Amino acid sequence: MSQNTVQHPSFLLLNHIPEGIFIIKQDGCVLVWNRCLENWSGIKGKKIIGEKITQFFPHFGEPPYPDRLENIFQNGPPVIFSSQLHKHVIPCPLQDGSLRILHTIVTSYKAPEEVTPYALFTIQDVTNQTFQIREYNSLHKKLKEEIQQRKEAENKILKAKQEAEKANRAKSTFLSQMSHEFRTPLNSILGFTQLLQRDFKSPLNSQQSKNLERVAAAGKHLLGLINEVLDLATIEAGKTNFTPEPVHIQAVLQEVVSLSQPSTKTNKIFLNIEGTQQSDIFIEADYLRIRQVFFNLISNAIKFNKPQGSVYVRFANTGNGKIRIYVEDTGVGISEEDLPRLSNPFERFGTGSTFVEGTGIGLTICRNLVESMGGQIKVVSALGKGSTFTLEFPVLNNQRGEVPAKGLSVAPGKELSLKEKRILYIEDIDTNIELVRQILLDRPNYQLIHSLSASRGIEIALNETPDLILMDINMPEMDGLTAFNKLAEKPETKSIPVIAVSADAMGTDIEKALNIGFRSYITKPINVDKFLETIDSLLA
Amino acid sequence: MKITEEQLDTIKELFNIGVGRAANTLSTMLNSFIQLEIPTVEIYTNPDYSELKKRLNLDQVSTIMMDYESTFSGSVFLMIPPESATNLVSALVNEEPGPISLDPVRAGTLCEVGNMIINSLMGSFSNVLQETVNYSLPEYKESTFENILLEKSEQKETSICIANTTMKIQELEIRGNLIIVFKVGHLEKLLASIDAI
Repeated sequence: MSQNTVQHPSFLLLNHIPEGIFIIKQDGCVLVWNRCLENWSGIKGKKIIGEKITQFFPHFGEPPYPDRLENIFQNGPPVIFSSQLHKHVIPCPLQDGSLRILHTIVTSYKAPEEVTPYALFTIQDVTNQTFQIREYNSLHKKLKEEIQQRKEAENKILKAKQEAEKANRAKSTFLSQMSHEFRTPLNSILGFTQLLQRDFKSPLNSQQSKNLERVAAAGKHLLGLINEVLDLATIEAGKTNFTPEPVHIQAVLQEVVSLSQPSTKTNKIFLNIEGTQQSDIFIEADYLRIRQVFFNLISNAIKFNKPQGSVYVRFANTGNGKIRIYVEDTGVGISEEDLPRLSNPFERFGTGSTFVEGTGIGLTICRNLVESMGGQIKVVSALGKGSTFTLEFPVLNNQRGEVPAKGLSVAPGKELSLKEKRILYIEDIDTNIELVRQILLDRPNYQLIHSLSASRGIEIALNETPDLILMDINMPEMDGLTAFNKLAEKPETKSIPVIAVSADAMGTDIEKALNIGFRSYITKPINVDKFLETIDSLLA
Repeated sequence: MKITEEQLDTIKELFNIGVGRAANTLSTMLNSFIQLEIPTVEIYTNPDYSELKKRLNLDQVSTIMMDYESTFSGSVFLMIPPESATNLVSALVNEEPGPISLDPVRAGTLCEVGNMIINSLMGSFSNVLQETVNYSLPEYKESTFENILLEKSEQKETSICIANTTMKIQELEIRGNLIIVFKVGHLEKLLASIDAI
């Protein structure tokens, strides 16, 4: 191609294209070098046009360029030189000395009057794009790392939560197991104590009676402590059953204050409900549980009081649909630092002369119960001056009528049957069997047969067809629930009433047994009166 | 349309020559041993693209494609699974893997590799058959197997030549497919040119 051809108008157009363009012949001679490429490379067209490309860029004579460009001059397919694999096709420096990042496409161009095609190089500057993408990738990578770290942190938190929940469940299981373990020997202690106290044939002398009362009181106290621990476990496991009903606040408070009066005698504590005006305020709560809460607070107020101190109980309608109940004492008080720890389970306050017995979980139970029933509990206290516990509940509207006579209802007693009745007791601990045998001496027409294992007990039941079965639940080899189901499958035994007698005292245990068909559930330690009442009612 | 054993063997040979040349060029350029194998070549007439997709286990693909024009005309594709394409580029430029579709620079690199393989393949065809072929600019695309083929050809009365290829670079093994789509009636022309050799 002649110099004139270089000036052909179609080539002049190339100076207006914002991409680097140059054309070489097969011998490497440069025919076109556009303005954009002049600016990028710093090499003027006048200088390079007509010269060999290898004079300015020797690498064009080295692999892979000759091989890759060979087909171009035979009108072959286009060739790409990417920016990542060919950084310096035409080195074009930037102001900071770095090189432009270029993407090059080479195509075959056949000029009309020429025999051999030319190689047309089109060079795109992808420098900005590349830096933007690198920055994006870097940010993307950082974001991914951050997300990964957060996920790991979340997983750690989740794992810690699961472990804490597991530990809490284990603790609750442990507490309920411990409750069961303590109840079993306590059954013997309280059971035989009750029998001795009821033995009218060989009455005890005055000193013996007092000593036995002390044994019974200590046993009941221990039972109370065990029940508190079990309560906590039940509440924390979310297995407490509530029976909400309208509860007359004044009536419950009067009952609890009345029951608490004997415990004020030791330190001569003054305990009173302020205000005598009859009130018709009801709240919706579980009667037994709200009574338990008041009992706990008032008993603490008495326990932690100074000699000849006072405990005031009052309640007032707030006027915005709520009622507040105050339990105020003039006791030792709680310091500001200790107040936040008040509801921690097993947290005890007081040392030396102010030490008071207890598990330290009563207030935790109170808080849990109050909040479960939709209320709030707060405390204000000053060291040396006393404490005021405030409970707040929504008032139950439009509740009128008689104050319900609450208390443990006693079912009207059925007439005792004088016919001979056979009772089968299935229990693996012989002390417990002996206790029941002695209890039943009070009922001469009840004949007790027993078995130390569930499987043998089932055989006896099939052969003897007793009138009533007493069944322990926790037994080796076969438990009471399984034994009950086996008895229920047999026509000979399915109609025999079965009472569960067990140290498993959680609500769920009782519910489970009653749901499968046990007629009643007696928890150990056995209360002799209730035990006899239950058996009598089923054998009547 | 019936293809004889001899014709199929010749086509296979042309693939092998082309791909062998591509491997040499790549190895020289990258200063790294690169191996390209063509284990199988198959020809389909009136193909069902959805059936073909299942048979080849190709859904989403990274593709470098070019149109060609000669006595036999059509389009040629190099199809690689997107993850393999990412790993290939990463191995070639010694950088961490990244999405190609969002990165025109990486797309350009893959385009060059595909371009070299396709050029060598079509070069072997045109050299042996002494045919002059015109080409479009190579293009990179990510889409499904069916969509890419349908863009360039109708299913009906089209013929397709598919070669499975395996590229080995360093410890990486990349499986891909070289596909030549012939316009209607053009496979017959190619076969006629082969018979004339």
